Amino acid sequence: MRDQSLFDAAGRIADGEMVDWPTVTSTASSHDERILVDGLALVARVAAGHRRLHELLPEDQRPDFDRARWGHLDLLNVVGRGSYGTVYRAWDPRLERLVALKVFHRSPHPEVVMREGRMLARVRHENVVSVYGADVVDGAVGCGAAGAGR
Amino acid sequence: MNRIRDEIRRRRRTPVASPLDATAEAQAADRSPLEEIIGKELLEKYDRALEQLDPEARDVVIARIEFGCSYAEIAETFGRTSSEAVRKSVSRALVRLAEEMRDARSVSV
Repeated sequence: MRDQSLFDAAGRIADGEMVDWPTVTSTASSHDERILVDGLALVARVAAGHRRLHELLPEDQRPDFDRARWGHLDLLNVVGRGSYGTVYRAWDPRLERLVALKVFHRSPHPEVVMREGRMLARVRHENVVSVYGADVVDGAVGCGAAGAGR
Repeated sequence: MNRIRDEIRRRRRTPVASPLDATAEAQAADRSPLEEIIGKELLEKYDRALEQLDPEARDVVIARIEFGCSYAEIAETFGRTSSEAVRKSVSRALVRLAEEMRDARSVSV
């Protein structure tokens, strides 16, 4: 059983908050846990690097989609935004079901994202989001997935 | 989430505009922005450690750490019950990731 302070530190890393490493190290009860703190410090560096990368992204690569429709899907609301694109809760009138739609930023290589979407559409596994379609609308690549909730 | 990961791989290969001077840009021409920021060695160790996680843990790490997705978005995408449940999953996954990265001690901390 790991010390709770390790999970607390991991939570702070995930939230981009500062970690009091000397305190975390002092609570490590064994050599194994002290080495684990070193591993967490490496994870923190990786996480900080990704946050820095997001800050460096040019304006035109940031989310700017605010459309009511994408293809035949009616966009209901934004679920989340990221450096890669925007996730919408949408209604598919053909299937008559709610879906999650991820619209990627305009990519110079939309075929790469499309290919990934098509490959994923063939995968059915409990740990993989089931993708039922991928398309390009006005140059924007999107993938539709089941499980948009209510 | 594989398609999301593919997208960030693309970003790793695509230079990002930054105020680097011409010399630094030339020196950095063969490295991605992420490699410049994190360091190639650490990034490779992270990638190897990430591959050792189970798919569920790997997905939440990628979504939260690499893409900055909110806990609510991750919960929505993966059909989890709550943002708090996702938050705990991410913390557990990061501790697991740290365990896998213990072999990365040659990288200075």
